[in-house]
Amino acid sequence: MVLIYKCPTCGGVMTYNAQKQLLECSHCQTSMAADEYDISDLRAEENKTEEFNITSYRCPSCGAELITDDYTAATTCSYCGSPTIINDRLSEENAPDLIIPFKFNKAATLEKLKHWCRNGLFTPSDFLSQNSLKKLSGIYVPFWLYDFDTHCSMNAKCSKVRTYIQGDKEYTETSYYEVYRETVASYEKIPADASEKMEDNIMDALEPFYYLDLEDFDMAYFSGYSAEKYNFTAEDMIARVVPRAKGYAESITRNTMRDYDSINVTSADTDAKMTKATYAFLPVWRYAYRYKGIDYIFSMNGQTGKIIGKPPKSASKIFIVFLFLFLAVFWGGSLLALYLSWGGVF
Amino acid sequence: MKSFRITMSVIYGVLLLLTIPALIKLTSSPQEPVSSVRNNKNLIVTEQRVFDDADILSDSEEKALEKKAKELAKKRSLDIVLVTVNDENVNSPVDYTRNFYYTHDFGYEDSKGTGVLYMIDMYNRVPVASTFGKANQSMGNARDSILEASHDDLASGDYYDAFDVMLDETDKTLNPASALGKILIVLPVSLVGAGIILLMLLFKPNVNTDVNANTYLDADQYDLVEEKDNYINTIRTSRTISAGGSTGSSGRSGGGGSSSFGSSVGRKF
Repeated sequence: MVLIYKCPTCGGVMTYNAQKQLLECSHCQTSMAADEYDISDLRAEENKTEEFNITSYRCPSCGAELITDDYTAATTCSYCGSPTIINDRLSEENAPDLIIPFKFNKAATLEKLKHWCRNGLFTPSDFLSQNSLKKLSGIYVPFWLYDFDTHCSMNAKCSKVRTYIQGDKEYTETSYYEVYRETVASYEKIPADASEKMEDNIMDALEPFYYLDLEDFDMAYFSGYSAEKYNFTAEDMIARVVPRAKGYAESITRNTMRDYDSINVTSADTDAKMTKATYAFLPVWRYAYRYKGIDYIFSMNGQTGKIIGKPPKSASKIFIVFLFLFLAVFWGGSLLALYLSWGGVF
Repeated sequence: MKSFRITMSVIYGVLLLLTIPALIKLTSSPQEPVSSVRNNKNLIVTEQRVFDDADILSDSEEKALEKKAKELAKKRSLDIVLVTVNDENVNSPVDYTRNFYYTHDFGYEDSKGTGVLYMIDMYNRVPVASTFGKANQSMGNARDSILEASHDDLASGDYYDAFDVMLDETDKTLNPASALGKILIVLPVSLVGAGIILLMLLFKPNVNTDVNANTYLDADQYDLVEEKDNYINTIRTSRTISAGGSTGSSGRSGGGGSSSFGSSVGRKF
C-alpha cells in the first residue's frame, strides 16, 4: 500500500517538520505530534503492480510511477512532490522498533553545510555557493542496534617506575608485575547501518547518535523524507559489530591497569555475546554537490548536525597557508638565530 | 579557517613584538665612550689599555693598538685590553688574565664589567682570550675562532699583526649585522618546517574521537570480577649526575658571583 499523510482539516499534505518536531500541513499550518495523527485520515491506495518480478508503485496523488527499488520505504513523488510511504516495506515481520526523528530541516542543513565548508582551511571560497548540480536528501537509514554482554580476561606484564636522587646519583627503580584482570560488561545499542547504499565508514563516523531522542517507530516521521528498509538482516551485520564490542571490552579491561607506567598485554581472552538486536531508523542528511565536474558527497547526522565529507582543496589556498606558515617559521627562526648570536636581547 | 587565522595572528603579533628590540639593536648608534658611562668614575684606575709587559711591541705599535682598541671599545660597547707577558710564574694564563682584569678595575659600564682581554703569554707560548660580563655571552662562542685566526701571525712572530687580527675579529663578531648572515641557514630549515606543518594540516587523520569504549557501555552492568597483581622483581639502575657546567676543549669557563667570566686558551705557537 502507498500512503499519504493528509491533513484532517484541509485535505492537504502533511510532512514532518524537523525544527518544530511536529507533523505539519503545508497548506493550512495545522500541526500535531506524530502520535496524535488519526490513521483513518491517511490516504491509502494499493497502487501496486508486479511485472517480471519487479514491483512498482504509483503515486496516490497523481498516478505517476514512483521511483523505487526493492527497499524503498518512503520517497517523494518525482512528478507531483507528494511524500509517499510504502508500508509493505514496514510490514509486521520486519517492523521497525525505534526511530530518532530528524532535528534539522533542509534549510538548517544547508546553512550548517555552508558554514562547515567556510571553516575548511583549504576549501575553495566559491564551493557550495556556485550554482551547480546539487541534491539534498533527508534519509532515514535502517540500523541494527546491538546489545552485547562481554567477558574479558586479560594477562599483562606491567611496570612501575620510580626515580630518586641520592648523593650525586640518580636511581631508577623499575618494578615488574604480572597482572590479571577479568571484567564483565554490557553494551547497549552499538549501531551498524543495514543499508547497502550507505558507506559503513561514513555511517560509523557520523556517530554518536544520542539515544535519549529514540521514539517508538511511527511512519508519520517518514512523511517528507526518504527511507528504505534494511538490506541486511541483524545476522548479516553482526560480524561488523562483534569486533567493536570485543575492542570496547578489552579497552575497559586495560583501563583498570592505569596505575602502572607501562602495560604490555600478553594475552586477552574476550567473549562478546549478542543479546538483542533492535531495528531502528536514524536520520542522515546527504548532500551531493558537483564542483568543477566532480561530485562531492557530504553526510550529516540529522540529529546532532555532525558533518562528514571531503571538500576539495584549493591550490591557491594551500599556497597561501604555506606562505603564512613559512613566513612565521622563518621570521621566528631568524630572530632566534640573531638573539643567540648576540647572546641576549641587548 | 577561523582558528588558523587566530593562531596566525597571535604568532605574528608575538613575532612583531620580539622584532622591535632586534631592530633597535641593528639601527642603534655607537654607545657613549667608556669613561662617561662608568657608573663610578672614581674607580677608573687607568686609561691605559695596552700592557706590553713582555716587551714584544714597539712604541708606535703600542700607540696604534691603544688607539684602535679604544675606538673599537666605544663602537662595540665593551672594554678591550691587550696584554703581553713573559713570566715563569704564570702557571695559569687564564687566572692571570682574570686577576689582571679585576685588579685594574676594567669594564665598560662599571668596574669588573663588560669587556674582553687578549693576552699573548710568551713564557707558555699561548694566546688567551677572556671575556667578562655581557661579553661572555655575546663573544663566548667566538673566542676560540678569534685566537685561531691570529695563530699564523703569532707563529711567525708578528705580534702586532696578531693583536690587530684579534681586534678585527672582535669587531666582526660584535657587529649586529654580521648575525644576519645566519638567516641564510634558517631559510631551508623553515621551508622544510613549514612544509611538514602544511602536510599535517592537509592530511589530518580522520579519527572519530566522539565515540570510545564508554559510549555504549551500560555502567550499571560493568564489573571487575577479578584482579591479581603479582609482584615479580625490581631492577634498579643508576647514573651519576654531572655537577654544574662542562669544561671546554681549549680552556675553561665559569661564572661566579655577580660577574661572569669565560676564557679560552689558543694553540701553542
